[in-house]
Amino acid sequence: MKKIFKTVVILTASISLLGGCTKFLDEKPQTEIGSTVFWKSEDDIKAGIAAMYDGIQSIFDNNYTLYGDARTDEVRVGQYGNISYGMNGLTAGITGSDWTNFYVTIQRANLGIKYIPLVKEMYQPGIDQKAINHYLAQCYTTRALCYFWLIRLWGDVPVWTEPYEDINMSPDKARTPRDIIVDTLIQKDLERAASLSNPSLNNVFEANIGATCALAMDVAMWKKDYKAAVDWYNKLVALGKYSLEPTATWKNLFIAPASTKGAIWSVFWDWTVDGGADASTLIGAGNTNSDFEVEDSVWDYWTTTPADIRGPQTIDFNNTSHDKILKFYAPNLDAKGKQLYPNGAEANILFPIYRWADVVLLRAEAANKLNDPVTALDLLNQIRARAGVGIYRADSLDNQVIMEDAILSERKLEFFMEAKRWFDLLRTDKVIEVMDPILKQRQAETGSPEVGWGDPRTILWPIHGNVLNANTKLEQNPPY
Amino acid sequence: MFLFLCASSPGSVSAQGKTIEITGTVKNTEGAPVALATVLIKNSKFGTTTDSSGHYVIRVPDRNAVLVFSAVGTISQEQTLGDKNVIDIILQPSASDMDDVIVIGYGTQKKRDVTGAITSISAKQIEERQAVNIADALQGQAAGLLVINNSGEPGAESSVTIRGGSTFSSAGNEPLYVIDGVVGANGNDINPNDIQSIEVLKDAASSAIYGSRAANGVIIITTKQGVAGVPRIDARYLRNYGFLAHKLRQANANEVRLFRQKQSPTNAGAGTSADSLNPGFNADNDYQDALTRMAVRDQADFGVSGGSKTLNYYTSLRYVNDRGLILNSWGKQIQARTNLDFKPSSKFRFSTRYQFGYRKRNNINEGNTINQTFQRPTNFTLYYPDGSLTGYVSGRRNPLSVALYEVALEDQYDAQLFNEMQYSFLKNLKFTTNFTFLYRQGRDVDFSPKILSSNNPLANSGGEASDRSTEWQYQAYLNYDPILGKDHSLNLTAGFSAEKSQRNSSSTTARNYANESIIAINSAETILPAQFDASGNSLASLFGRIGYSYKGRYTINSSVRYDGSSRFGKDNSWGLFPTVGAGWRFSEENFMQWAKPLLSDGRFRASYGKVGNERIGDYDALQRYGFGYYYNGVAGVAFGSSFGNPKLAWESLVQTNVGMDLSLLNNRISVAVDYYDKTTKDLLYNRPLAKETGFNSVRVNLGSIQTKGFEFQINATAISKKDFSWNVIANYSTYNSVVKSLYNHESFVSGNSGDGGNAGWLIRENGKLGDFYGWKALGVYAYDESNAYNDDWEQLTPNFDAAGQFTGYTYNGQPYSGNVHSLYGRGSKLRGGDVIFDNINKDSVIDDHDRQVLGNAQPKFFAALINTITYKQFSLSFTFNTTWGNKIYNNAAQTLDNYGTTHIIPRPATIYAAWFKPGDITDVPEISRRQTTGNMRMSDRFLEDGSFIRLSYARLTYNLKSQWVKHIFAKGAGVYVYGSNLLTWTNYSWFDPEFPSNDPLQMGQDNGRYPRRREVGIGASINF
Repeated sequence: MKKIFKTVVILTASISLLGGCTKFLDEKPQTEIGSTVFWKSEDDIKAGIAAMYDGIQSIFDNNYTLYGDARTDEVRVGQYGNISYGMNGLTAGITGSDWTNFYVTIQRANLGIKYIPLVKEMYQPGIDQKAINHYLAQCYTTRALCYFWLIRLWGDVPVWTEPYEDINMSPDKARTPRDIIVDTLIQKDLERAASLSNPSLNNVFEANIGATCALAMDVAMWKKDYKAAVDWYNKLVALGKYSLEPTATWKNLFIAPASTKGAIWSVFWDWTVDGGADASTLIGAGNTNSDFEVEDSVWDYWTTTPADIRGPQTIDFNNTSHDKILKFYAPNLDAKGKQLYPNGAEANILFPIYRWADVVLLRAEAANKLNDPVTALDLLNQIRARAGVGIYRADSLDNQVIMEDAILSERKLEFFMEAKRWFDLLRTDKVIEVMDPILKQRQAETGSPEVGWGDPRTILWPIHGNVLNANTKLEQNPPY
Repeated sequence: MFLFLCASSPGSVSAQGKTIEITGTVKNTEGAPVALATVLIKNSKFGTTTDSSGHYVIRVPDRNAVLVFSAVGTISQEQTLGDKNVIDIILQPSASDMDDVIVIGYGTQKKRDVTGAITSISAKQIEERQAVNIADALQGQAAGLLVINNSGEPGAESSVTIRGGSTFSSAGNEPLYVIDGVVGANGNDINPNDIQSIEVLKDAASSAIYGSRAANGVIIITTKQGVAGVPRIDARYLRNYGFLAHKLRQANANEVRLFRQKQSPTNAGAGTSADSLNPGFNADNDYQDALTRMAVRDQADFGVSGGSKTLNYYTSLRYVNDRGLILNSWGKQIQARTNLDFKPSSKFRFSTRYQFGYRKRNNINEGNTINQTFQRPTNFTLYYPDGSLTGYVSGRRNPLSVALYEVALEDQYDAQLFNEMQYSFLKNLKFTTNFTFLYRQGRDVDFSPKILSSNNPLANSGGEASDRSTEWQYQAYLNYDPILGKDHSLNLTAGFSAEKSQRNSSSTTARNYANESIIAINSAETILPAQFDASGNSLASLFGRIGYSYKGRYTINSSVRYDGSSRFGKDNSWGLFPTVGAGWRFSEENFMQWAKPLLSDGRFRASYGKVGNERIGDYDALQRYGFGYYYNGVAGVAFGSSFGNPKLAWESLVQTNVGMDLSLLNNRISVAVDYYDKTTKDLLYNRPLAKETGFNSVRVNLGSIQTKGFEFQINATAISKKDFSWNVIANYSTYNSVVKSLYNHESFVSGNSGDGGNAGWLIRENGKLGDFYGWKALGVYAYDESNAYNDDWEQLTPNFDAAGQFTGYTYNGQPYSGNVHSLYGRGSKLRGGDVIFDNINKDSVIDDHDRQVLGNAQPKFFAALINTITYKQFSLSFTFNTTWGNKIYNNAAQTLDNYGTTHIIPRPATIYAAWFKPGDITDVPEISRRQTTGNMRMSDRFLEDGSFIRLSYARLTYNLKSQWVKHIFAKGAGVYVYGSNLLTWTNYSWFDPEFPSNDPLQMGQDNGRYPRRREVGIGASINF
């Protein structure tokens, strides 16, 4: 009996011990933060905003070149690249067709927009409202940038303006027409950002007031609302901060943007914490052949126009396979005077997003559209003079079409491999006009029928299969 | 160890004073001596075992003592002493091995009462293997158990699965190891020599007492205990030589030049070296010879065991020194174990198990050595004219330099301390409680010196990582066997357990070390930010079991376990895992008596049970922010890519097992047959989340996999004579895993989902796991004009006149004048020399829509045959095993034949067979058109049959006669020769068809690995 009693005691003890198990089984993350204990202080805000810019780094890391240059007449695909970019043969599995990183960045911007005001309201009322506003402005501008790239690459896309935080909410959203996104989201975000941004805070690696206005001007140009573009241009001029970087220090726009007057918004990069910028392996890294080679039109122009200071500071004339672009690296020469390239894993590229020359040439383009050839020519010639090449005479650009072509050609050289050319062709509806003959030539080289660009719907990118599969409400861009 | 010897000797001395020495011989009914028979003094722990000639010596306290003689497969016999000093015994074979006691988790059970599918493996079976690790000990021993030896690399670990995978993650498909009651111990830490027995619990009903972690079966290992008597000293030594089992043909310098010519058909100078005197490119190396050597492994074991009435001890020490096939690859290992059992009274027992291990190895980078030997052109030199090694030449590493100069040291300490107390309140009521502490500390040091650098200028780099894990476990349970009369037996078990584990790791990498002679990370110019990780989890459980047997004829077992895990959502942390099983010993029924002469024992078993799986990330149920999102000097904080799901709950597996055990011909043959059907539900599955949320995936309970299988095992003593015996174990297993449901019923492609060359797998409902998914290659277009199809997309035949001018098409021999369609790939028209891909969807483009299932990576069956033949003092054992009907994607060959960078050279056969000029009929595309139209898409060109039959182990032992060994005061001694991986029959072209692919979503891709050894060795063992 005594033994049975003992048994009962032991069993009871066991059961009561299990009662304490709820606590025993409560394990807290040790190298992460639970979601309920973040967004409590200004330091949390700074950390959240840094993560948002880290998102922009992820977007550009490899795909900057693929989105902005790979499909254009700036480059052709070399032996080790995927020929599809050069042959208008994108597929739903191709690198770049996955838009996830844009939405990761949007999520981080949305978290900021939701929680930054609450930090002041609930936890740290002492934070200056101006500071809160400036943080918010950065979130709005970054979100606008992401959506602006998304709609130009894929057309209609799903819209998220709040973070996804509740598993009971459906994560699947259908695509919103792109014009609605431009009018009701991108423009509104930029107007809000412009009003919240603190003009005295002017970090070139952040979405400062100049970045907001330049982006807004670009959006207006995209909408072909040239008057609005001029308005935004005037706001930029009124800031009194920017001017064309002198000829002698043109290279600094890419290797030391913070020291220049001409850089508006660039992406910061430090390979020791960010990893190497992968785009380097596409256009110029020390340890591998590049995927892309300079198109002959560009190569021939620069090698025969020594006066243009941009050529030798953009492409490597010593490289016989034409596949090294040194624009984004500081000069680093070996004993024979050849440029040394960083390994892909150790490459820093300070991806330019907006700089003053871009704004100037957009203004020229707007002036041309607004039948103001004098302003257009003047601005275009500012860029040419800075590059060290002869300026255009008014009579050589005597109609709107020729003027536009001249501006676009200048942009192609000035912004070579700065992810502008593709969007220039899109904005001016010239993708097929420009690319058709080039594709025909490439098709002839590979013995394929010379069909040119083919289906105009392939101007948009396909959506990656993984992205499609993850969202039941998404439909692929035809004809992919 | 010495300490324990001393500790035990006073006991023996005092016992000797008043004891009587009894000697004798134990034989079987056929007159053969029975080795390792146990001789026990009844009602004591005191006893001894017989030597190889059946001889024993035992000291008994007085003339009233009763000796109990027993051995495996015999009926135990009791003998009163009387006035005899010599007692010879003839042991009768037991009616069946059904009387054997097996370990079933928190208790033991007679084999006859087992209702689940359990296979036992004895120490003797393991000894015949010269096992280095647990995988060697297990391979081929049990039906349903698939053991894949990883590689010939020193210190490599292997993969073990029971009845196929049951979930989508690789970690979730490993069986649970229980070593001396320690749940979740690491099977790789055990010295196979220490193993007394292994029980493989295959069905859910058997394993469910371990509840939440038992979904993939349980392997229970019991280590050896000392046997009371004179101390026994064991010493063994083995030296083992290993050779490259399969050498592969590689393109020689001439073939490299031919490849260059075919690569640039329009360049007349291709394939000739611009500088014919340049020593850098005019070699012709045999890299496999240069990089490999004869492997040598030394293995030494030493152990002391014994005991007295109150204390038993067993200690062992093992040292392994392994120098691998690849130059400079090595591994060393020390394992030590001490088992102590202290039993001061018949009611109380205290046990300690202490295990310690240390291993260190140079983990040679396979990608940069063995794969590089195939990828690097053979005409590149290995040495400069001054004899020094070359480094990075034209983008290819020198594999010899990598092997010799690259540092990849891994060391690891592990320790396990287990204490157990047992108290018997009554003869049939026993309380057991134990506590275990596990500790593991690992450290990796990597360094790549300048000579291996691809940087310009050269730069070195390296790193350090360390990892520490700790765990404790507490268990307490009661075993109660109420006495209910002669016909009824009942046993009850109930208890609880709690455990907690913690893991911390950190790693740092650095570049530009100041000095290469010492690898000190603080000498580096750039030290990259260190990565730290830490996590912990805990588990609490209640469990119970009831077993009832009527006359040993009808048996019912049932168990239940209730587990709580910290890994799941607050409301779902607890899971219940019940089972039930029944057995019917039909051979005992009256109506079966006629069969007795043939059928010694026969039994049906059926069981049903539910088990669980919790092997996921420690915090998958929590939404959390992570670190490492740096920007411009600020350390950013953001959500990770997976969404924390607060509703996360247990994955469960329900398994039904029906089986039959037969003992035939007086127990000469025993047969076990099992059929099972297991279904995993609520799979812990990383479901893709709409990417627009900013998350990549969310862990959910979704989807199901069903596996059905059949197993057959036979154990037969074909011959049993005085001087000659022959024992055979054969087993056969087959199973088929099918995905029953997926998130949103949507298929997905695992692995390569694009049009690259690596393998992709289609995961779909009602599809099998392991379905390779890609494009089917039907050949290569002979002419440009061959890319021509009629309206139904049937290929037309181009015709040419004598001058080679195209004259028109024929279809089925008839001139064709209708529409001619052509196929395009990657935007270009396919032409002569391009691969003809199967155009599934009958449009004009070869793209993602033309993919199909090309084959399956799961074997149709696997089987093993183990023979043990003894003749006088000789004993020969050998094991054949086979895996049949699986496909392997030979990605190592694909990488070569894809020549993704300039200096990767394809296989010789590929170079010769490649299409070169119009009219060539071949299945290898034109070399110069690698990328243009997507010829290198993942296709069945690289899918090979992975079936093989292998003579995996063989050992021939000569046991010295006991009268001889007495001269050197030894009890037994033997010498043996040993071999492993001796013969393989396979059509697989790369090194070895046997390699683990643990990820169930990505099975059967051979990426090129450390080659398998063919081993031969010689060894000796002696015990005193």
